[in-house]
Amino acid sequence: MKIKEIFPGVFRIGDDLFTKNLVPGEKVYGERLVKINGVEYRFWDPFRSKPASAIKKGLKTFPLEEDSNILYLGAATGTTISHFSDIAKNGVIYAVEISEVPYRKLMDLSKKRFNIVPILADARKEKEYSDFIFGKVNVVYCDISQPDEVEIFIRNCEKYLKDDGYGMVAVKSRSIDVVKDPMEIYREAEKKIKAVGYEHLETVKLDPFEKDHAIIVCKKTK
Amino acid sequence: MKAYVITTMFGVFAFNENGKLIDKIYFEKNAEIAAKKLVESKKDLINEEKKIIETLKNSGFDVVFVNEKVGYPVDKSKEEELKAKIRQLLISEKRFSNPAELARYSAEVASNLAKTKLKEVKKDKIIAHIVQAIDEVEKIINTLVERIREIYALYFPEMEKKVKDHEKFIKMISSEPDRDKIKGFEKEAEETVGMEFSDYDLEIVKEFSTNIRNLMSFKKRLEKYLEDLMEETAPNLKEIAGIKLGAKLIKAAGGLEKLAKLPSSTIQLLGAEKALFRFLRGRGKPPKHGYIFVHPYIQSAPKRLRGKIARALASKIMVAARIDFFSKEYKADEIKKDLEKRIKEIYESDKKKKGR
Repeated sequence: MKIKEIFPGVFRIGDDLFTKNLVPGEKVYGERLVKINGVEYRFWDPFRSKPASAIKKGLKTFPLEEDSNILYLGAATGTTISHFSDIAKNGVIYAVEISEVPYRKLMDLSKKRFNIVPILADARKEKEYSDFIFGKVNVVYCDISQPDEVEIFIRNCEKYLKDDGYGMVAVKSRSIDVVKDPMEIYREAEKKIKAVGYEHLETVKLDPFEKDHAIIVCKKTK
Repeated sequence: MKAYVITTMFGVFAFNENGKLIDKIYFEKNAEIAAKKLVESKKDLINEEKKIIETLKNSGFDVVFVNEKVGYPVDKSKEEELKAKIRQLLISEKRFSNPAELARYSAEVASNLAKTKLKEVKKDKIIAHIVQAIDEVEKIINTLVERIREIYALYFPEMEKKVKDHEKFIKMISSEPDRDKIKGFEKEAEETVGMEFSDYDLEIVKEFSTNIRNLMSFKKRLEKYLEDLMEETAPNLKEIAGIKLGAKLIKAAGGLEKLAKLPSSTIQLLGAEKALFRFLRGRGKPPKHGYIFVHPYIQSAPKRLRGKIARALASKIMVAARIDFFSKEYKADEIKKDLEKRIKEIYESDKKKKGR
């Protein structure tokens, strides 16, 4: 079968997306494992992970690299995180999660994947976890479904993102305003990001994988 | 001259104005200890900080903290710069052989810090589950009772029809399923149209109903447990809203703390989200009440006053929840008096309107 590396660490086999398994033999959330030429790949499900659906929908800039340091807000149980830790295998992923039940799973995950730092904190209070983040990060990824998500994202970028780093927000339009048209909400989010002087690179809508969601990619330019 | 002191999970460091390291005390390289030190340093000066401050003061420096510290000036502008320096220092001094090991250690400290948070006793989390458990047990009991009634009606339909109360019915057949031996039903037993049951059949009926009986008493025990939990964690809320309603509100809000921080308008509509969003989308009428609909004040009110009463009730529930979370005093009696006064006003103004 043909394997094509479409982004650093992200492989396309047939129609599906895969990442190289950092911990061979271990499944994280019951996903399919495929072994090709002695290398084990993990299926990256676009229905369960928003970056994967964005790539499927034709995302052009995927800023993760092998040695990227990533600040991940809204880590949940670590489905997406596990793929990020496959991709950025020599970097560090600071995974911030506020809720205790998913955090326990995240903690277990970090015991197998050594590049994950699980932080139990509120992304809204970005100063509270500064104890754990030494040095600025290359990428801020934010997926928190809050009405003020974009503001939270920008505050975190201001504090933790490198000057030429990338930011990605998964915007859930329904948790910002159920009544408004999703497109309008994406435009507003883009405007807010541009207002702080970041370069807006692209907005990718995620349907049919996720309804009324979009990923916005931007670059910090100072 | 100023000296900048920064406390990290690795230790306490002091830099001069030019960003040069002047003093440092490492913590023991143990994630558990480091987490504890971090927590303590948020509250008060820890020994390492005291030591560094003393030496700095002796050499004539003015101490400025980079992280929050009560009683000392704080300057956060240098935080990132100094942290980058500490990171370099840790590697160059071979405290950590590479960045990956450093990340590993941060993960351990973060996990340990979270552990203390996870271990905290939070009774409201138990309340949220127990109130749901009670509903679930009740549902199961009803399903099973329906089933055993169907079965028993094959054998003794006359009695099944007559004893409407589930609990009484279960009590009767669990102690004596044989229709010829049930007291007070001798006549019905003689004329019954039910089929014959063997001893084996009756044995199963008895066992089945005994299990249901146990579930019924378990449900009562859960209810008592919930009452005790509410008394302990939210006595005011329990008094104003009632045990089950109070617990449901805690569950819906996601904890007593969150409930205490909600506005009363949200409390009024907790549990009516579907109707609320339907209204916001422009279809349908706005809901007047969510879970609080079951409260006796609203139940006993005429329909046209329910909205007003729901608003008054929600605002008092909010007050009760806040007292429970923040001051923990018992003030339910006063709140209740206020609430009753307000409800009386609502009724009176309604009467006046009608009189006109």
